[in-house]
Amino acid sequence: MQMMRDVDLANGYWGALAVLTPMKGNFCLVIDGPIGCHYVPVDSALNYTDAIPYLQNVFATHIIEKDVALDGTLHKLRKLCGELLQHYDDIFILSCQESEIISSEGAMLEAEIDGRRVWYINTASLDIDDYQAREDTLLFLYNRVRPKLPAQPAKESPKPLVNIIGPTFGNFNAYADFAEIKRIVTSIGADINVALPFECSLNDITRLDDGAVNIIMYKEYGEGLGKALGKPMLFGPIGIAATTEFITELGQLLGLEEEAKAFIAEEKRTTLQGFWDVWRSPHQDIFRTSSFGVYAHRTYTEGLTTFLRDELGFEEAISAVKTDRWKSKKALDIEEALLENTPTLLFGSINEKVYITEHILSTRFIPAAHPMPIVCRATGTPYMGFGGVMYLTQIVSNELFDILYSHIHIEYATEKDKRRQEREVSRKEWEEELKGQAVAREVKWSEEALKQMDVVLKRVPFFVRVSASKMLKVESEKLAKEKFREYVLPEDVDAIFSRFKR
Amino acid sequence: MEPIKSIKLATQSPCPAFGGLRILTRLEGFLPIMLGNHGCYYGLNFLSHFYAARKSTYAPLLYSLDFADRNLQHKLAKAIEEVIEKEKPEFVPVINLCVATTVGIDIDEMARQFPEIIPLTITGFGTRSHAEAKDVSIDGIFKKLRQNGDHKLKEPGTVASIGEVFPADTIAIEQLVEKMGLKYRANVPSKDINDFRKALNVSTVACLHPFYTKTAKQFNELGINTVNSAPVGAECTYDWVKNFAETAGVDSRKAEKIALEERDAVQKVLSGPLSLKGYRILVAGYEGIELLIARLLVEAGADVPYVSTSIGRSSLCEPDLTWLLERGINVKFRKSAADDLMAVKEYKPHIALAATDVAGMGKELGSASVYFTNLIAARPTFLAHGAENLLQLMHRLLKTSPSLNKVRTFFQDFDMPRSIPVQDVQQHLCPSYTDLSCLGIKDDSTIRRKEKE
Repeated sequence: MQMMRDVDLANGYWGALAVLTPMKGNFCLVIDGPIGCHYVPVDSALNYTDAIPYLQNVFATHIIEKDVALDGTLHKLRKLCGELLQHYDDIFILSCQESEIISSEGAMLEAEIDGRRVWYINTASLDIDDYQAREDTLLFLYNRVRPKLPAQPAKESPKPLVNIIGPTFGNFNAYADFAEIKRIVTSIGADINVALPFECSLNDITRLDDGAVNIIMYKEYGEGLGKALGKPMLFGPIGIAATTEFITELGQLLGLEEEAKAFIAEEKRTTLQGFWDVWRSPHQDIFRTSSFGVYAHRTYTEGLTTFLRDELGFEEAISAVKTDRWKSKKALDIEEALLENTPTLLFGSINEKVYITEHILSTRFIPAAHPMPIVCRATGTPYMGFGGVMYLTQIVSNELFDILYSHIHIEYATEKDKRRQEREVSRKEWEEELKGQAVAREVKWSEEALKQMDVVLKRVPFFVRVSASKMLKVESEKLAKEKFREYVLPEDVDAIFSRFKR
Repeated sequence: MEPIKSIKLATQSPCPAFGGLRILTRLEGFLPIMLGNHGCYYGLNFLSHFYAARKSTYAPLLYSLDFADRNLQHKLAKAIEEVIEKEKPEFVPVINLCVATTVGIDIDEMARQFPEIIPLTITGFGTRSHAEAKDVSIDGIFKKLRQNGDHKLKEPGTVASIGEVFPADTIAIEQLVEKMGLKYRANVPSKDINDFRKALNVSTVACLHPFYTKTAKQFNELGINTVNSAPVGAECTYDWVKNFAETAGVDSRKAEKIALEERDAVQKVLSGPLSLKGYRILVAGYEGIELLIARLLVEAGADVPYVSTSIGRSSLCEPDLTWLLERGINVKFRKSAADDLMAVKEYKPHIALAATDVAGMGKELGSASVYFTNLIAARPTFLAHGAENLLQLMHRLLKTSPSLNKVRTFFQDFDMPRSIPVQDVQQHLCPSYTDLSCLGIKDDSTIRRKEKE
């Protein structure tokens, strides 16, 4: 039995919720579960992943002890659907782990009454994970729900139409990445047909087949729907090469080769101008002497690794996909990896941030995956596309500058007097030594302390190593003297090193 | 979110297990293990990491096949044993969540096998609220310590307190009981298990929050007297000091003197410039401390027509409940979110202290609402210092009304996600916070008077 530390992937019910709730239209969701299944994803987690205080159209059976022991939830569901059908065209009942374990029979309620429909989605929460459920729910919408909905007229546009599939709730930075993908599509002269589920009404899914190309934003899910649609598929790109290829291919598929080429040229003059300037400035030298780690979901891990390593010149210390540990016990242990090969920067979720803090590592943390309490609703912070190339370059540069800042010499206001007294004392000592009134007190370095100095210095980014090593030497010796020791010990080095993080 | 009429909804609460984790993850040397489903693990671990402690939680991956396995109990015990061997924690709270409880995983049996295990059953369908899950957890910890014999060093004339309160409040209690000539030993929950050990050996326990019913019962079994409620507001502070002194056997003349001193200090704050006369405030949290907060606000002159809480009514609530009912205030126990939404619509308060959804609705109405948990539950409330702190916050919030309404007006003409239809709130648009006519407040003379001053 696999015991997992800090679970970072939710279950089928959460996945279904993340796909269905962002859609507009006259429908609602009924959660067949206890209070926690209602409040944790809908009221709590969504607040910290998507900054949404609550969702309007979500109801729940709120399973109580009596339902578990005796009644089941069918009676509650029946009453609830009866009431809700007066307001909504479509009701989606979602199973939860608890209703699945008590074998609730919500499926019996699937019906079509006077043009209004009750759907039952078995989210298989006991068995499948969040991403599998997002995939399954997208397919459920296309295969099962779409044929029953009133067909919408095709979008009137002289331009070729493109679908975007994948921007869902609980998806790190989806708002900005989605905006960037839309910008690319419209900039080469195409039009958005359906963006599922963001900016999409439930009935719009009847128009999915009108799209000439499907852009699947994430490799984690959505490919199944892409295959079902049968049109050419492209995935959300991260980095210069990937984005160039993406735009070129999209242009070719839509007969907009020239527009795509012109757009790339225009981007070099505009969006990427800042990147070019950072790249030829001294900033880039720092990139090439620093290391990074990524521990995120597949699209971000692969994209960030390629961009940071192959385009910005960072050294790759850690690159792993979070979900791999669900498949194999041999998958990377991120805590061990952080200790073994501590990167300058780590892209990850709150779990990794905790490990970095727990072990007092010098690694700087940059959010790149959920779970993460973060407001990420500005559309100007993409990781994908050329906009992402610029934004990522900007945030890694600023983080590195901040490391530099914390290593620049400072006289702490609160310690000024104390330091002055210390200087006076050591001046007197030195004078007494010169006058032969005292024996000089030299502090030597123990072998362990020297080794520790090496270990510690490796954790300091290369570009600040010189000033760091000076400070470590002087301050460690001072600490040893204060404690009336003749030798510097490893703990002195650690104590001084921990001050660097201020 | 429209109120549902057809079925009775459960009490509004975050997942109760989260209440448990707030206590358990904060204890040093504790390694919490959850038994349930990965959906639960994800959400609870996530919330714990920024609302409780930056500490890892552990959980076995369980699928439907595992739940049909006859050897599940054995396999789980083995997996837990491996974690214990590797991490060597002092205590391992093993929490049975909904699905594990439903299939009947026997955590008590595991606790007999491994002395580190503290068995706890906390479910969304059985544990009634997030607050009461804290009681379950603390009760479980005390049971374990009693099994270990940690309750046998009785120390007369000593005090401990129970309740997740702001650190300044425990200092206030400490100073207060020392004035009475008693020794203060510990407040639980805390990060140190020794505080729990100390609490088991004192002579009097201040049960500061009204939902620690199981825990209070254990103290009574040990012959330790418990005192309910807390020194919040003027009258309540007086009563509490007197009651506490009597229970702890303190000289009554001395107690009277202290009680009067503290009461007068609070009263000075209440009747000073921080008075809330003319303002309507709804208190609708799920933390279990709403009754005390409401008392303080009423004493400060606020119009508090409605108080709701997720906890159930018990003898621990009585003194505060009686006080509120005597003043004709509508008090709702085990409230659902719909109860609060209806109350916000009906009373249109200047401030709604409520859960995220209801506070959100308050903001749509232009009332200076805030999330109870973040802004109220994380603040000192005891004695004069607490009163001052809370009233200052109310005034700060009221001052933000114009900015709230400015933004609200901007979005008023557009179909934004909202819980109240635009036409329903149009009439309540407040141009400024001194013009209260839009909120249905007829008597605003006190506010006009204030303006003149």
